[in-house]
Amino acid sequence: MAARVTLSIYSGRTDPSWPLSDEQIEELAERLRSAERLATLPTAQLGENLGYRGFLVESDDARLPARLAVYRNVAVAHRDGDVTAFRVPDLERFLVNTGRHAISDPTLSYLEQELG
Amino acid sequence: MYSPIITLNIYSGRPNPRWVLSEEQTAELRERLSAAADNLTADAPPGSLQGLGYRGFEVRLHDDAPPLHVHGGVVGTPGVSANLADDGRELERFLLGTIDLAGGAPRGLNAAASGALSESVREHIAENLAVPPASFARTLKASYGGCPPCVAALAPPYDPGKWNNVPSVQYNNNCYNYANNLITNSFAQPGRGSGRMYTSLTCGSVQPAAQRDGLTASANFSTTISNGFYCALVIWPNEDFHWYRQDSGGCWSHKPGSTQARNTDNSGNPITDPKTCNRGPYTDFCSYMITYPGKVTIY
Repeated sequence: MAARVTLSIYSGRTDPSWPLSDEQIEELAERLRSAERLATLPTAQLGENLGYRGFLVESDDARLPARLAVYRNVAVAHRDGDVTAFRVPDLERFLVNTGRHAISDPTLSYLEQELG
Repeated sequence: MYSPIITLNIYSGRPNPRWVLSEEQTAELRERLSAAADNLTADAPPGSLQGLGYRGFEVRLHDDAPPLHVHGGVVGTPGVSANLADDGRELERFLLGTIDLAGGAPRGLNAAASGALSESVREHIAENLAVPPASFARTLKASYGGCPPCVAALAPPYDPGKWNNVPSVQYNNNCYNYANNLITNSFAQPGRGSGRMYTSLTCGSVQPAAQRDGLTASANFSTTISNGFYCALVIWPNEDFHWYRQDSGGCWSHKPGSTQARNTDNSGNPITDPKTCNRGPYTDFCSYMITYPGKVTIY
């Protein structure tokens, strides 16, 4: 698996999902290493509404947490039983860019609006 | 050993205080839960259903298990049919005390949790803890008084635990499963169960596909029906479909994709009519529809 991103956005259809390349994994790991760690966890790791609800990155690559939920500039990382939150401005845009080939144009336009 | 994560459900706009139990506190929590294991109740913790202000505690014992909800003298135990009674609300008082007593700062969560509880917040919680468990049932009934009548004989109750408590059920069943109250673990698609799926994400394609599965269209949800219950189809034009269903209490609920089933709209309001609620990008309302338990075929 290495690392796989799922965009949580649809209700009836299956959510778009795509693998990260080795370079993208390295960049994501670096972004997390340099991110500001938060003292509290967010109430919800992903959104719950209809429409955009964030990204989930699942990985068995040692450079990344096993599970990373990213929503509204906050990432929650699960690694070896530890749960840690980070402030990650621009990480959602980075993840969108890794998946442009897997996301339809109308959904990309909608995401651009949502991410501001 | 996994250290339980406790969340105090109290705020709406700010993040809720969250902290990790020490080993000693974990042992005491497990003892208290074991002691309550035979004290079963059919009630639900009121704070897990609705409310503003103090709504109890979420207790996450494992990463992979759904959390317990402790509020109003009830311990909500997902995955188990009956909940546990916490008659004197002692478990809530114990959990409240762990904010101050937690030793060290494992994973950096404790400091923020403790510091977040002002005197006024503590007073608000103390007032709530003084209320005996039985009064909550009356409060809940009053708060749901605004639902329209349900005139469908077979409408299911709002029972989110059936969909949310088992991770594989939550993940593999979508809005169409939920609207038909059928768990197929196939992320059901309109028309697939009857052999011909929709071909475009429009009302004109998805609605006939659902009709091939056995559902029928309805102009309203006010006509009495004896053999089914009401649901509704909406569309994010050319991108996705979504379904709601009317529960026996009269309000509507839904399950956005692989997320949890819920009974509020994108504004956080109870759903009295899916035609007028906040649906985010699902701007096209197609139709109310009727589904027939035991007769529709979805997959």
